[in-house]
Amino acid sequence: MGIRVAESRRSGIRTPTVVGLAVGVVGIFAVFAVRALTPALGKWSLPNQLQDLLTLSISVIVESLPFVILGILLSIIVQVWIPDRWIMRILPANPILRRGVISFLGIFLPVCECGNVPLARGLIVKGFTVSESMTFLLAAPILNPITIITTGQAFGFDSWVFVARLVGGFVIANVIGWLFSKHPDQDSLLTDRFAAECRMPDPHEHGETRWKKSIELFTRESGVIMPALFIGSLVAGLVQVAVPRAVLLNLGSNPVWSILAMMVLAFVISVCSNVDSFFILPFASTFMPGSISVFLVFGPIIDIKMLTLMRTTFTAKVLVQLTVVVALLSALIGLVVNYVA
Amino acid sequence: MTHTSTEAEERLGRSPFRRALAVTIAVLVVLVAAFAGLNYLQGPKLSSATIDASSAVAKAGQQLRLFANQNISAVKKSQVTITPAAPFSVNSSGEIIAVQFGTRLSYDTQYRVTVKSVTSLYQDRPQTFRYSFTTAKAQFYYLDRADPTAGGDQLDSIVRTGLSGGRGTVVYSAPHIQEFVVFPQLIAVATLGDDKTGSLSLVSLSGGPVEQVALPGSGTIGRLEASPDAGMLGFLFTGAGPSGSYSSDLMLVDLTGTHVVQPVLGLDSRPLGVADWQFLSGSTSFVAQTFDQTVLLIDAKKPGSSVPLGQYAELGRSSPDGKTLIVSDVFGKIAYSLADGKETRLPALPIAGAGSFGGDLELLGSGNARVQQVAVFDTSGGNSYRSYLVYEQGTTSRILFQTANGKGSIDGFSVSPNGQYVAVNVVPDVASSVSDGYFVNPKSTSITTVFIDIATGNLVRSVAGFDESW
Repeated sequence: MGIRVAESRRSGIRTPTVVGLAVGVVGIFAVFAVRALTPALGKWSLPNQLQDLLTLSISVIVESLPFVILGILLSIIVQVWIPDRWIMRILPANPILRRGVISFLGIFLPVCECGNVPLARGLIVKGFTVSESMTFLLAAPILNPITIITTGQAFGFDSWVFVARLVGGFVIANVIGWLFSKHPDQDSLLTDRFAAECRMPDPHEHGETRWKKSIELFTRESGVIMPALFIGSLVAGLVQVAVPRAVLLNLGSNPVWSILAMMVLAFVISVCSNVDSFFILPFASTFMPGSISVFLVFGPIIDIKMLTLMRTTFTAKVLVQLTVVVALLSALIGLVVNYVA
Repeated sequence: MTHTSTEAEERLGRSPFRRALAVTIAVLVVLVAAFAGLNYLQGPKLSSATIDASSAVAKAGQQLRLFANQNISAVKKSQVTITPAAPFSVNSSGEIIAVQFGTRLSYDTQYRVTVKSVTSLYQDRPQTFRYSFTTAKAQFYYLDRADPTAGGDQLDSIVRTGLSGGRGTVVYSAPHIQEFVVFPQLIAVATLGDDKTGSLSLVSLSGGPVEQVALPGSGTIGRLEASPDAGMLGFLFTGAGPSGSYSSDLMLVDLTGTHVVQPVLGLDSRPLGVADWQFLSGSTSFVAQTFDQTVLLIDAKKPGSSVPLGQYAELGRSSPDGKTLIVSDVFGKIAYSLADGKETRLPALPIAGAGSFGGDLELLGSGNARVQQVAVFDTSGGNSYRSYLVYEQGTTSRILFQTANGKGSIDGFSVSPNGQYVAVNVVPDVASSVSDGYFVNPKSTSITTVFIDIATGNLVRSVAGFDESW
C-alpha cells in the first residue's frame, strides 16, 4: 500500500491539486471582490464566538506554520543531505546514553514541537528506532536554545520553573524512550501509512537526484502535516471558545487542582514551546510555580494540536499510552515543585 | 523494520513492555497521590519577600512584601509582630502580605517579621511566616575644604563615608567648592572661580563625565537645594557686577529633562527674588520667603501655582514628610501645617532650669519631637551665651551636644533621613578660629562635624569637614 501511495505521488503535481489551488485563489479573490463591490450593505461581522474561534485557530496556525516548514526542511536535510553515518556515528551504542544524547539534538535543530513531528518522522526513516525518535520528539521542544532562553528570560534562569522545565523535559523524554524501547515490535507503534513510507526504497539509490527527492519529500510531508496542523488548530480554537478560561483560572492557587487546571489549559491552548513562557507569564502571579512548570512541560508534549500531528505517525493506542504516562510524570513534577518551592 | 512476528509471538513479546508500562503507571499514580496529599497537608509557605533596605531608612511608608506560594486568607495586624518594634499596618491580597512601616527604620538593624496563623484560601492549615532583613548602613557625604594656609594648588574634596569609621572615598575634588547636593546618581557641585563668580557642575557618581550647567550669566550661586526624589535642583542666583540682571533670584533645574536653568517667575512674570527657600521633602513643591517676608508655597511643575502662606520673620525647615513647615515670628518658632494652615507654637524648653532661646530646629517626624539649637545665658562665665543642641518632645528636653568649656560654637546641624542621628557642625574654639576666606559660604578652617545618636546621645563619629548630605 505504501509503495502504491509513493508511486502515485512520484508522478508529479496532480491535476486535481492545481484545480483545487485555482479554486481556492479564485474564491478568495471573489470574497474580496464581493466585499469591495457591496459597501452599501454596511458593517457586517461574524458572531463573536465565531470570530473568537477564527482568531484563536488562525493564531495557532500563524504561530506554528513557520516552525512546521522549518521542521520539514530540517527533516529533508537530515533524510536526504546528511549521510547516515554522520548522525549514527556520534550517538553512543549504549541505549540509555544514546537516548540521553538524542534528548539534546534539539540544541542543533531548534524547532518547536509541531516542527519536530516531521523531523522525528525523518529521523525514523534515517534509522532511528521509534523509541529514540519519541525521545527526540518529546525532549527537543524543551531542550532547544530558543525555549531555554525564552523560559529563562520569562521566569529567571535560577527559578524553580526554569529548572523544572528543563529537567522535567529531559526526564519525561527519557522515561518514555526507555518505556517504548521495551516494545519488541517498534514498527507496530507506527501508523500503517507511515510504516509503509518507512519501508519505501531510497529513490536516491535508483538514480533520483537529491533535489528531486527533497521536493518530493517536502510535498509529501506538507501533505501529511498541514491538514493535521489545520484540523488541530481548529479543534484547539473550538475548545477554547467552548470552555471559559475563567473556570480554569479560578483553580489557580490550589496546590493540587492548579496542576490539573494547567494541564487542561496547556492541552486546550496548544501554544508553541518557543513562546509559551511569555504566554503563561501573566498567570505566574496567580498560579503556583509547580502549576506553571506543568504547563511548560506538559504543553509542548501533549496538546490538541500535537496529538493531531502525532497521529500522522503513531497509532491511537500509542498516543493514549503516551498521554497517560506524560500526564502522570508532568503532574508529579508539578506537585514536587509545589511542595518544595 | 518489518512485521514478522506472529500474533502469539507479539503477545509474548509485548509482555515486557506491558509490564513496564503497568509498573510505571502504578508507581507514578502512587507518587502523584503521595505528593498531592503532602501538598494538601502542607499549607501555605513563604516563597519570597521584597523590601528596599535603603528606602526603608530614608522614607516612612515603605513596604515589606511577603509572597506566599499560594493565595492566602486575609491577614490581620494582630497576626504580625516586628522586632525591634516599629509602627506598621498590614494588607493582604491574593498571595501577598504587605507590611507598611509607619516610620523610617533604623540604620543597619536586623528586623524580624513574623506572621502567625497564615492559612490558604483552600485549606485550614495554619503556618507561620518568618522573614528578617537588615536595613542599609548610614552613608553620608561631606565637604572637606583644603587648608588655605598650606599654599599650592590644594583641592577641596567631597567625601563619601559611613558612621562606622574609615577614611571614606573622595568622590570629587576641585578648587573652591562652595557647596553641593546629592542625588542618587550624581552630585551637583557649586564652585567659586578666581573672579568670585560661581559655576555649577553635575558629577556622575559612577565615574561618568562632569557636566557643566549653563548659568543665566556670570554671577554667584547661593542656597543650593535638591529634591532627589523629584530629580530637581535649585539655587539663588545673583548676577555679577552692577549690571547684573538677577538679584538673589530663584532658579530651578529639572534633572529628569534637559538640565536647563529656568528662573522661577513671580506674579509679575519676572524672576522671583527670595531671601530663603527649600524643597518640601520628596516633592516638586517648595517654599520660598520673599524679601517682604511673605512665605510662598509653589509647585515647580505647575507654573502660576504660588500660594502665599503668610508673613513670617524667618523661614525654617520642613518636616520629613513635607507636611509641616517651621516658621518664626517675634515670639518664637511655629509649626505651620501645610494641609490646613494650623499654627502650633514650639517654645524652647528650659535647660537645667534655666530659660533658653530657641534657634534653628528640625522636626523628627509627623509629631512635635524635634532637635533644636538653643542658647542659654551663661551665668558662670560672664555675659555670654552657651550653645546647646537638644532633643525636645512634649515638655521634656535632653541635651544632645554642647561645646567643650563653652568656647566653641554650633555652626549648624542636620538630622539623618530616618531621624536616628544628628550631625552637628562645630567650631571648637571660636576665639582662635580662622576663616577659609571663601567669598560665598565661608567657614572656619577648624570646623568639624560630629555625629550623635539621638536616642542615646552618644557620639558615634566625627569628621573634619561640614555640609554633610545624607
